[in-house]
Amino acid sequence: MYNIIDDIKHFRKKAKMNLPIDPNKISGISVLLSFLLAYLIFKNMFIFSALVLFIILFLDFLDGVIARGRKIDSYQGQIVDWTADRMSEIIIFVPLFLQNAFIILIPSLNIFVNFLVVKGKIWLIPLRHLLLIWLIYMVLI
Amino acid sequence: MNLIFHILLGILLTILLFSKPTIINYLLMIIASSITDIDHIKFFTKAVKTKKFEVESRTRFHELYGLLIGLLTLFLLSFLSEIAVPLSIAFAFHYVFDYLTRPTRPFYPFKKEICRFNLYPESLKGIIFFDAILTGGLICIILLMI
Repeated sequence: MYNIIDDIKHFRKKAKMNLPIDPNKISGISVLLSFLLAYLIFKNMFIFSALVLFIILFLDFLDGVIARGRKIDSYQGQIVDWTADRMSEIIIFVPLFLQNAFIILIPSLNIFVNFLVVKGKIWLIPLRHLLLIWLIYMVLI
Repeated sequence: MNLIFHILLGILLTILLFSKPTIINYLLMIIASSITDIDHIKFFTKAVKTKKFEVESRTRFHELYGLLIGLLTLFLLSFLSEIAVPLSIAFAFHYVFDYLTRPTRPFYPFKKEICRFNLYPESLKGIIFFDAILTGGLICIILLMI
């Protein structure tokens, strides 16, 4: 029987090989892809938007896996990851923000929450995952 | 990123976000996209002497702390004038491009860890060349859009 968990485990094992990829670069590329995503959302191209957002989220997952695989995971890497996520959210929410000024409060709130995360344990709001659900909903209707 | 790039970015965003931009629109957008760099003035003399412009030349207002305060202020201003919306985009994009092209300390003053996306060269010569290409590219885009 097909098991997605086994697939993820297998992928993680593969990624743990000494890949000459810098995880910080992957985070940077995910921020750059956010510009494309913002453009696609602005143009109401929801199918492509969902696809690009999926790639961004995959890259977000990949940088952590590679960092752990190469045993170069550190708190500094975590800071890079958080920063990439916050920048990505700011860019992605620009087209929505143009329609409603209140939208800017959403990524701003996550920056604020991230300051609390830095100081202690608290969950961040998975804004991009929620956006992906919204995009899939928009595609389906 | 250098100040010229931020000024040009303000001009590009004005062209993109306004249907019929006025001189005041251009001026406000340029101010919003480059005002964050005002904190470099304090460190400019030292940077010229040492030929190094390091993360220490960025105050807390040049990091996520400043972005948060700026965005919330512009959000409150959006109740008074609609122009606050494009202004906040110009303001936020300053931070986005700085984070992508320079080493930063995003959670300063709470954490001093440096964030690098490693998408840019490390040497001074490399940075000057990299900046020149990006700034030149932005000039070309603006000229094409006018």
